[in-house]
Amino acid sequence: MSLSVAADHPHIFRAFAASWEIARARWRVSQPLARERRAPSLTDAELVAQHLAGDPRAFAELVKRYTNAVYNVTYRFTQNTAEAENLTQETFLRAWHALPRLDAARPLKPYLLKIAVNLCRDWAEQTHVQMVGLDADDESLVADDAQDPLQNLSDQELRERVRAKLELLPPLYRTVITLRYSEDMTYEEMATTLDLPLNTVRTQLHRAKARLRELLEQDE
Amino acid sequence: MKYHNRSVEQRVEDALRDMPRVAPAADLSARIIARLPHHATHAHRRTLGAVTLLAALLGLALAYQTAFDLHANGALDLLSYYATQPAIVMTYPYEAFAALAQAIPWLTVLLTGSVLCLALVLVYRLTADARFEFLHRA
Repeated sequence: MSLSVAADHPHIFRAFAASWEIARARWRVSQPLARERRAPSLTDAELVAQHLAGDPRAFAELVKRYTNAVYNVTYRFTQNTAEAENLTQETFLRAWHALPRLDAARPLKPYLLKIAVNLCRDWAEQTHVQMVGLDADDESLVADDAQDPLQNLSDQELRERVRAKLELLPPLYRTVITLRYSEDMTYEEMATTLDLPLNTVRTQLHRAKARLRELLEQDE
Repeated sequence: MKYHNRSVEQRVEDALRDMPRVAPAADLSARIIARLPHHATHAHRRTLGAVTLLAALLGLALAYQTAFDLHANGALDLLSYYATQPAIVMTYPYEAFAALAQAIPWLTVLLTGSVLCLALVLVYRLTADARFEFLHRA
């Protein structure tokens, strides 16, 4: 009887199977002893080596280690929770398949974020989101000696305004700012992640900050 | 190009640095892990495949040995006899089952069952990849 129900309604079987796997994964994630023993002591390279040697918990550890960073980048890019979760998930699935070809000497985080950024670019193409808006006119930001209107803002006000205005930046600018400041990456790591020359990364970050500054000054 | 006010630029940079990460849902990692294909590397799969094959072959050999022992001990004849003469089982059930129990090679049966179960578990693990891809597509 149960077999015929499963045959007639495969979606029920799939739902049960998926729920079971999620419950198992949650249980694995909640293993404090295992987490304590593995996470702080093993480097990314060691976890990758263990994963390649067939230990399924090693990649789970990497997922736990980098979910926040990957989600931070994908969310800042898409500004959509569901899309960011999908892209984060897809990033790890691609990494799973690509890890056997990865050079063990390369740091993992820029590599994962590179996959995430590439997926974000694909998403932007599919949804016709413009990666970069009109470039900020550098001349408009050339110094004058007048009193800066932002000077009068308190640190807290400035921080809140920066957060609000960041969302108005084009996706690529939000991404370079996120990588640099939120993920604390070097220019070299950013270049790897964005697949851009080092100087282009510097230019993009400079333009992103200029555009942000422009937006901040618009309200004054 | 330099901003016209260095201190404001510095404050904007500090504000960007202080900006917290956007936190994902608490169970996102668990959901991602659940959707990973649970196979490991090719080397691992090869080892798993070889062990599965060995377990299956050993299980078959033990099953053959069990059948042989059942036949040699007269258990099969006894079963056949009980099937044709059910009145004996009805009249002397304890004696009938005791005779059957004596004719069964329990150790071999237990060993065979264990090895076949192990082979089944290994097959389940070996096919996990295909099952996860099926679920992922769904």
